[in-house]
Formats: sequence, C-alpha cells, structure tokens
Amino acid sequence: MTKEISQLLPWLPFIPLAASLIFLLAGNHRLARKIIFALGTLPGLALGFVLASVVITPAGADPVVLTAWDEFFCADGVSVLMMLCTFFFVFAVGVYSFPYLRRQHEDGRVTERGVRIYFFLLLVFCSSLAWMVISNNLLVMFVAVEGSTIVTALLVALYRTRASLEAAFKYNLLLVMAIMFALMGTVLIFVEMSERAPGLTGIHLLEIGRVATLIPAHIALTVAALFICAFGTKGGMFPFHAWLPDAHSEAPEPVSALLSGVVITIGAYCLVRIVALFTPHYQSVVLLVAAMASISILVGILMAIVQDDLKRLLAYSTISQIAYIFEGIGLGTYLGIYGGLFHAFTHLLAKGLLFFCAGAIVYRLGIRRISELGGLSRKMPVTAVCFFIASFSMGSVPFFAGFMSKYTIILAVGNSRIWRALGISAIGGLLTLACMVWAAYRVFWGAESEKVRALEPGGREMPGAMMATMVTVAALIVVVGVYPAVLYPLLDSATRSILAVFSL
Amino acid sequence: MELAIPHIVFVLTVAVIALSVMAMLTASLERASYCMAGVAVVMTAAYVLYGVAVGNRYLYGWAAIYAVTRIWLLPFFRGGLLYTARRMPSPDVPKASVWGTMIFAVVAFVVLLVFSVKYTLVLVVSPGPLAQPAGEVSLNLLLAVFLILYGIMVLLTHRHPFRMVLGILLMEAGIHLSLVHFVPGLLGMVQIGIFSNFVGSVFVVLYINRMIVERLKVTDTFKLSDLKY
Repeated sequence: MTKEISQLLPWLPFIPLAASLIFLLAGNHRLARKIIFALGTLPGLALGFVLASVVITPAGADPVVLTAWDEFFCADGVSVLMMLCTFFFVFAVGVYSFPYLRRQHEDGRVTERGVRIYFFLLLVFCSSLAWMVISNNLLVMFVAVEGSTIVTALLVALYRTRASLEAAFKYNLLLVMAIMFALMGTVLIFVEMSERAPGLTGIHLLEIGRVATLIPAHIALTVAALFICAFGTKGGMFPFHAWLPDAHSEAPEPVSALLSGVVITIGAYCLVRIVALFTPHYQSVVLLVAAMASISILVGILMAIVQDDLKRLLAYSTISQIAYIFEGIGLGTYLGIYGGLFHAFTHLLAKGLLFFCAGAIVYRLGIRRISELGGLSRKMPVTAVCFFIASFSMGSVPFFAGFMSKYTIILAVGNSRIWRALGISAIGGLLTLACMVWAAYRVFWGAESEKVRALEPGGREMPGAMMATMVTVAALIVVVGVYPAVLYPLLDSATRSILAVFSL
Repeated sequence: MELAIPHIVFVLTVAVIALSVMAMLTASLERASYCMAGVAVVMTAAYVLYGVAVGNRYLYGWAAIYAVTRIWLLPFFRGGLLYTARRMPSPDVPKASVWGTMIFAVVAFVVLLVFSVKYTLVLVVSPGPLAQPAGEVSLNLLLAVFLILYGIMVLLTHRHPFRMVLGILLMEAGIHLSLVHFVPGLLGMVQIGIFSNFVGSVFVVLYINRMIVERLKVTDTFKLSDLKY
C-alpha cells in the first residue's frame, strides 16, 4: 500500500501546474476560474493528508520515507508537513483573493489580465513549492526555490506602482544572490564529498546527513555560513532582511499573507534540511544561528513597534518571528526542531490571518495607516475579533496557537544552556505581545477616526469568501492553542525524520 | 595536444575575466551585453576543452545548454540583455563607484595572487586527493574566485539596475568556472551546472528593470528608494 501511495508523489507538483495552464485558457468566466483553482489545490491537500497517514509513525518507531522515480522524489514527515501547509494556505489565499482582486480590479489598481495572471502565478507558486518539498535532490530543490522566487517577485510587482516595483526589484535581486550563496555551498559540499566519499554526491537529501562528519571542519563551517546567508535571506533574517518589509508591505494583501506565511517558511525548510545537519557536530554553528536569531528578534520587534503602516508593522514582526523558527531549528535538538517546525505552522496561521485582516481593512476603507484608523471594532467586528485572536497568538498568550510553539523554542534554548538567547527570546516574546496588542488597540478601539466615522453603520464588512477564510484560520488558531497535541503526531514524525538523517 | 589544453583553459579563463571587466567599464549597455555574450562564448569553449581533456562527455551537454541559454537566449532573445539595454537610458553611474570597483579589482587580484602562490589556493579550499595533482588548477581557481568577488563588488557598488544584473551574471559565471576547475571529470558537477542556470530569474529582473524605467523614468537605484524603515 505504501508503495502505491508513494507513486502518487510526482503528481503533486503537476496538478497545480496543469491547473495554472488551464486557468490561462479559462477566459473571464468566474465560476470556471474558481473551479479550476480548487481543482489545482484541493487534490494536493487531500494527497497531503493521505501521505500524512503513512508517514506518521508512533513515537520510537523508525520514520517512514516514501520515494518515487528511483528516489528522485522523496517525502518524509517534514515534507508532508510543508506540503499540507502550502496547499492549505495557497487554497485559503485563493479563496480570499477572488473577491479581493475583483474589488482591486473595480478600483482600477489591476487589470483583468492582471487578475488572470495573479491566479496563474499563485498556482505556479504552489507547484514550485510542491516540487521543492518532495525533491530528493538539492539542486532540484534550489531550482524550485528559484521558481518560487520568480513567481513571488512578479506577484509583488502586480500593482506596478513605484513602491511595488522597487520592492520586487530588491526582492528578486537579493533572493538571486541568496541562491548564489547556496550554490557556492553546494559546490563545496559536492567537491569535498566527491573526493572523500566517492559514490556519495552530497546533493541527495537522503544522504546529505553524512556530509557534516566527512568533510573537514573549516569547509563544513564555510558551507554552513554560506547556507545560513542564503536561507537567512530567503527567510528574512537580520541582517539579510532588506527585502522583507518592502515586499510584504507593497504586495497585494493576500500575497503578503503568502509571503509571510509560506515563503519565509521555505527558508526554514531549507535550513532544517541542510544547516541543521551541521549543528550536532559544530557548536559554533548553533551559536552563530542563535546570535543572529537573537539580534533579529530584537531588531524586528523594535522596528515593528515604531511603524505607522499596519502592513509594515506586520512585516517587521515577521522578521522577529522567523528568527524564533531559525533559533529553534538551529539548535539541532529534538525539542528545538520540533519547536521550530511548530512555530512555522502557528506563525503561518497567525501572520496569514493578520494580513487577511489588513486586507479586509484596505478592502473596506482603502487605508492602512494606523494613525488614520481607530474605533473600527464597531464597524468591522469580525475583523476585530480575528485580529485580536491572531495578535494573541503572535504574542504567545496561553490557549492560542503561538503560545505552545514559542514556549517549546524557549524551552529548547534553555535546555541548550544558551542563556543570553533565552533571555532575549523571552523579552522578544513580551515585546511582541505589547506591539501586537497596542496595534490592535489603536486600530479597533479608542475614538473613531474621521474615515472610520464616514463608514455607513450597517455596511457589509467584507464578502463572504474573505470572511469565511479569516474565520476558518482564526478557528484553527484557537483549536491548536487549546489542544496543541492535535499536531503532535505530524510534528513528531517530521522532527524524527530530520534526526534520522543526522544519524545516517 | 593534451599539454596544450590546460594552457588554453587558463587563457580562456583570463579572457572571461577581461570580458567581464570590459562589460563593467564600457559606458554603453549594448556593448556590455555583447561582452556578456562573449563571456558565454569563452566559457562554452572552456567546457568543451575540459570535456576533451578529461573525457567527460556530459560536459558537452552542459556546453550545449550553456550556449543556447547564454549565447543566444539571454543576450539576444526578446526581453534579454540587448532588448533591455536598448530600452534603458545610458548609465548615470557615479564615477566613485567605478573607481571603487577598479581599485577593488586590483587589490583583490593581488591579494588572491599572493595567497595562491604562497599557499596554493586549491589545497586550502579542497585538500583532497583529486585536487592535489592538478597544480595548474590553482591559478584557474584563483581567477574564478576573483570573478565571484568581482560580481559581488559590482552588486554592492553599482547603482544602475542593469549593471547590477550583470553583477549577478558575473557571480554565476565565477561559480560555474570554479566548479569546472575543481572537478571537471564528474557527472554531478555537470548536473550542478545545468540546474543552476538562473536564466529565468535574470529575465524577471530585466523585466522589472524595464518596468522601472518605463514607468518611473529612473535608472539610479538610489533615487528609487521610496521605501525606508
């Protein structure tokens, strides 16, 4: 049965890719577009659940790795986790985007052709990520990462405004540089492996675990540094974060949600696949990642606090949150990797929801400056509730999803006895809570601003599709917060699959 | 014939460096595009020569793909380097950065040369058995590493978006050259070379460059900066 299921793996990237091509041919028929989009994403999600049922194994058992096409494709716990996140979130973004983009089209911000290209790119993005997570080859993985970068750069530039073009230019340039650094690291690994262990290329993910022990320390550290630069840029870690606030704030709101939720998680995925392999053998790599993450946590949240643009605030807070994920994964311990992956998931939900809320505000009011908002809770109650739920999750309030994930990371840092990083992580958590609640207060409570007062009282808050997406994500945050064990089997399998590669 | 090949490869590597520097120093973006096509021609020749020298047939495949994408597609295809160069005003790059690049180039070259002669770079980077017998690899590798650093320097010092794209291409050329100088005999190396052909990304950056020039009438990335903090 496992073998039959593993033969389904190659379909994962092809389904959304085929749907994207059909989408271009679908013309302007709205229903047809929705059906094609659903057919491009939902089968992948369903397949992800089927694969999850196979790769989830009881604690203590050997992790299951599915392979296809002579090990060209492989899927283990961490692949399946990423797969589920990607397909679920791209579907959610798509559902949210249909009414949102219609409004943008009516307002003249995007052409009909632009709307069609937007959904086409969204499906291609989904395909490239699916390709990335099931690829067993480092190079194919990089090609998929490059593909996703191209697509997201075009999505960021969708409005063709001065700011969006600048953001897209910066994003693409920096990300290409990042891939170059990753490539340099790969070249070094490959050369060393070809000399020290003929037969092992070091570019297959299932055998890469041996790299760290076989190559000399100075090469290993150089490789780790190159990969940290590369994936730190992809993830938006300080000091490689220059693209992140611009791209997040200038992209259409659903794309911002996608960038913050999924794209930076790609950096975490690559980190867990490659850099984490060096951490059990080189304490200096752990310390380097912890130091960078600590600075990132503080810089990100301090920059977020002083923002007046709601989307820029959320973007800077992303820099801080991705640093927690990197910090956990960089430890290379069970608890650290578990916490990192867990936080990647909870951050995807919470930050995605926050950007959806920002989108709802822009949809209704057309503004996003916090100083121009205020007292919005009476006019947009659902958005207010969702924003507070996501803010509490980001701020690690108990019974919201972000609490357990961040707590796990802090616990892992404590277990590794990196006390300064522990202190900074805890302070960063408190600052995040203060920042998010203060932002939520200024936007939704207090005196109504002029623009908010001008809104008609009984007006429709937002279209049903947007609201349904937001409410669903908010519900997931609460469910995971109240009952975090619901994710344990998958996260545990994912963590064990990474640890298993260490010991190969 | 066999003895001549390493010398020819060395000359080709020097030619890549010379064409790269010419691409950055020429005022005309069109001429810079032709220089990059020249870089691609020389690198293709280097791959073929290595293929002959070490008997790695897969290198011919890489050379063919490289030729199609870098000698034809990237410079001459619609949306490529020449197409973009013709739609961009002549560069308004401040002199200081050009001088900065040149000073860097000279200093980096001297430092790497001294380093290479004293320690034999290839043994420092890769002290394995495959690298050791290949004495002449060291100098070629030095030039390839120089090209990577030069590309990074171009990215950091130039303000014209088109020049920045050229910086990326130089970095990539340096990485590919270092790869082929390291282990020319392996299939995996060819795989890396083929998979890391970032033509798609370069086309997208060029497209965004054209949008910037068409809509914003700006060719200085410093003046573009609306988004700060």
